[in-house]
Amino acid sequence: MLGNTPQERDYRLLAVLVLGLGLIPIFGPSNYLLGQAALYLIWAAVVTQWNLVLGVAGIMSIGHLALFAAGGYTVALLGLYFGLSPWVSMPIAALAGFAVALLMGLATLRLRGAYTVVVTLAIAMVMYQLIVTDVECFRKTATACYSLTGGARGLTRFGDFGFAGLLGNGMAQTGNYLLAIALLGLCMLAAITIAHSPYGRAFQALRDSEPASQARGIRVEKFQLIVFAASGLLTGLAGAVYAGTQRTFGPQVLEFPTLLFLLSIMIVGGRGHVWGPVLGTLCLALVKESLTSFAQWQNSIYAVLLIVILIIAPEGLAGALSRLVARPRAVKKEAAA
Amino acid sequence: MTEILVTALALGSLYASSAVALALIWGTIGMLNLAHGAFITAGAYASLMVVRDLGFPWWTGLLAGAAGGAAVGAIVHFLLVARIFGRPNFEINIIIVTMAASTIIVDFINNVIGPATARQPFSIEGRIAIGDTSIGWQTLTMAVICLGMAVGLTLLLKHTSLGRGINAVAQEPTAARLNGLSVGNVVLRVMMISGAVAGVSGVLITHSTAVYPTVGQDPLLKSLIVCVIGGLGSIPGAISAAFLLALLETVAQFELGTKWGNPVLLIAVVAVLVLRPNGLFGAREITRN
Amino acid sequence: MSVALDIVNLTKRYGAMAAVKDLSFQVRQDEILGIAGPNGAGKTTLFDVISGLAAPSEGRIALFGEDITACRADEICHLGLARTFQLNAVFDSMTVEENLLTTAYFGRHHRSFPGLRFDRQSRIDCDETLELVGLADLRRRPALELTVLQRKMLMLAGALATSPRILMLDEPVGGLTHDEIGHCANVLRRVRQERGMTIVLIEHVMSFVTALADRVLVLHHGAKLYEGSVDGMTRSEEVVSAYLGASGVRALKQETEGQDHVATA
Repeated sequence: MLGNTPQERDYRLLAVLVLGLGLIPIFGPSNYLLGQAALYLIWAAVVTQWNLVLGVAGIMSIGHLALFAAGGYTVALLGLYFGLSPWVSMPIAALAGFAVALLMGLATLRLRGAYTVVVTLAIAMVMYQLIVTDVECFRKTATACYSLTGGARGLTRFGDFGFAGLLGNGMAQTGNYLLAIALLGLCMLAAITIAHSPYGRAFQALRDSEPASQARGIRVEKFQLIVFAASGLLTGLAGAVYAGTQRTFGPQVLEFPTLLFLLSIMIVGGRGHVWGPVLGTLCLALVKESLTSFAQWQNSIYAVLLIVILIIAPEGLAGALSRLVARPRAVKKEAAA
Repeated sequence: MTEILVTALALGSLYASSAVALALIWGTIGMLNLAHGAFITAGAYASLMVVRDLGFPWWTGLLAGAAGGAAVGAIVHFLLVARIFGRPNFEINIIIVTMAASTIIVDFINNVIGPATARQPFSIEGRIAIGDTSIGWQTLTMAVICLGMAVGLTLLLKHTSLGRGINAVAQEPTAARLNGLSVGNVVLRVMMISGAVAGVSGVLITHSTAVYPTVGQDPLLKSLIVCVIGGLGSIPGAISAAFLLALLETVAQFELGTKWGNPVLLIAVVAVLVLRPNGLFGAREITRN
Repeated sequence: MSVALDIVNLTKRYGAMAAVKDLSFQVRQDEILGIAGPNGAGKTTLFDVISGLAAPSEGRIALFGEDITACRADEICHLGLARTFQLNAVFDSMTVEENLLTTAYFGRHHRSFPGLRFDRQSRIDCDETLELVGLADLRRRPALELTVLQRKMLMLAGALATSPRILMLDEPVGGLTHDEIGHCANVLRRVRQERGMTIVLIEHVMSFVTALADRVLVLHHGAKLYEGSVDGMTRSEEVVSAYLGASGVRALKQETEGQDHVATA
């Protein structure tokens, strides 16, 4: 970490963030706070991957949560029916996310704009409807009847990461929290590396000008599939972490309120910016936690925040910050010249 | 067989009226209106309140639906569309923003009016026989109203000065503006007409289902699929696709079960778009953002 | 003299209308060929078909002897053909340097498995191209903040960074001032000198064409109206009546008299 390129600065910042977050349990926050924080960290991780598709590559996919659901349900189903621990199911969940993402990418390969929106949205909504309308008895116990996917109620009792056993009683939430930090760290590492790599530039080129990309040797279909599949891998993993830490997984993740929340994170943070998801999650988490008296209006409040930012500061927090940082640096350069 | 056709016809006219409202906005402004479901819901609730709570006769429900939808359309225009139209990244931004607006409207209905469900309080009794099955007068009336709206909209676009203005803005907004046409005005009227049509379709949809805050979601998905298959922006495309898809869905539900209706439509969408990425009668050029 | 680009019976139809009609011509290696003609003559369509962004309806295209008729645009770029666009096509979300690193990396040759870092060759190509077009001082500048001339230079640089053997420029100096046009001409002369480049350029600004082109091709309604020397073009009756006009010819003669035409190697 000797240099001072933008990429190395990003890595350093990430290291500081991860370290800082990791030290928080020392100050003894409540299990509730740790649990909430873990949740936000997982959402942030999802948005870092969605940001690659929608933000960097400019592909108007709003079905990203289907990839998250694929990962989560993989862990839940494998745990429930085969007794597999989430630790073992995690890589399988990542592959599930990868596979669904690949399908989504193939389905939208030649589509652009609103057509992509409709197909990706339809995929997520159909997945939701199939789960919610799954009411047939698959498993019968003495007292009740359970459907294959758990239907609208979702799945529980499929196991967890076992932190209570590994770290000690009462440490389960701490363990979940640390795992969530690791997830976000991994996802941000991937996002930063991709953003500064030829892959990231190819994705940007796709967004900026498709004809120019093709004329300069970038095969559009190939990189469309790559960005979908790569983001699907880590999003599936995030779904697995969610399932294992929350110990429940249901179709709520595919509902509009969740979609809106994540979309707000992406837009408020700054669509297409590497640090957008983290900044956006911070902001939205603060808003959400201060809203407890307005719980029934919380979706509307995210929606209003989203609309306001989109209209007055479309580059989001990350965009505004980067312009502020660029100005003093430019002044320094001119002073030195 | 006849039963399938009759069901599909009724369903198709419902889909057609909802879809043309969406197609109108896309064709004129290049905007995918994800608040369309909210227009539908607003119309349904407006009718409910006017007929059930205020005690007006049943047919005023339709007018209330139109008014409610148009009002929401106007609000969405002034607060959102007017502010983003013409700015960079319009296409993706308006999608995000209308999704957000839809959430606010649904929340509002949920919190202010109440989450309980109700039914539209009017119905027309009686059935008439067709072949070896029968069709209710209610269904028939609904179908007629829907087809009337779809046809009426098509005629409006072809034969009135407003229609010409809409076509001008749809094809060449800059030239239209230079020729003295108030683009903002046309956009407002498009939003309101679309809202009115969607609102009435909302009233009609909620005859067979209850009225609840998220009642517009499934019609929204259906309208999106219909419009995309028909080709975004094409009104004849939307009408044709509506009937085609209603038939497909009805057959699928008869053969496979109700819950397979939407998945079959999804497969249809993906299949059609793989062969024709702009839909069957697709019009506008689209860009990536 | 070998043939850089061989176009044989090329036709491109959009529905019932033929934008390019049974066109045949050759571009010799190291020459500069100008393509002129009224608007709607099919010039940009011709470029789109040759560069692989549109598929031809009939005919064949050969690049340095290799048939590229059915090739994709990215494949054609790897084979050594680089084109620019009428409407500025640079990557606005990147800086000047990032633009060139990207085009150098992906444009030079096919990458089955792109790496996670840009390789040394791409950095070299990027730096050399920056020097060649004179944008070295602006390497950290976001493409969005460039002036019109700088953007055009960046687009040209983006094409050059792919190490092409033939450059196809679509109206490179449209909308520029007289001095800026001269600047472009000098850059292209430098490119031709230092890299031995074959150049095909579409342009309406006739002074630019006459200053640089060895030969000229005039298109009208998608078909060839004239092919030959620049002088011959001004004397051809068809060209004058369909495109240049008598006053155009006079203006052209005045420009060429006051110009140094650099003889080609």
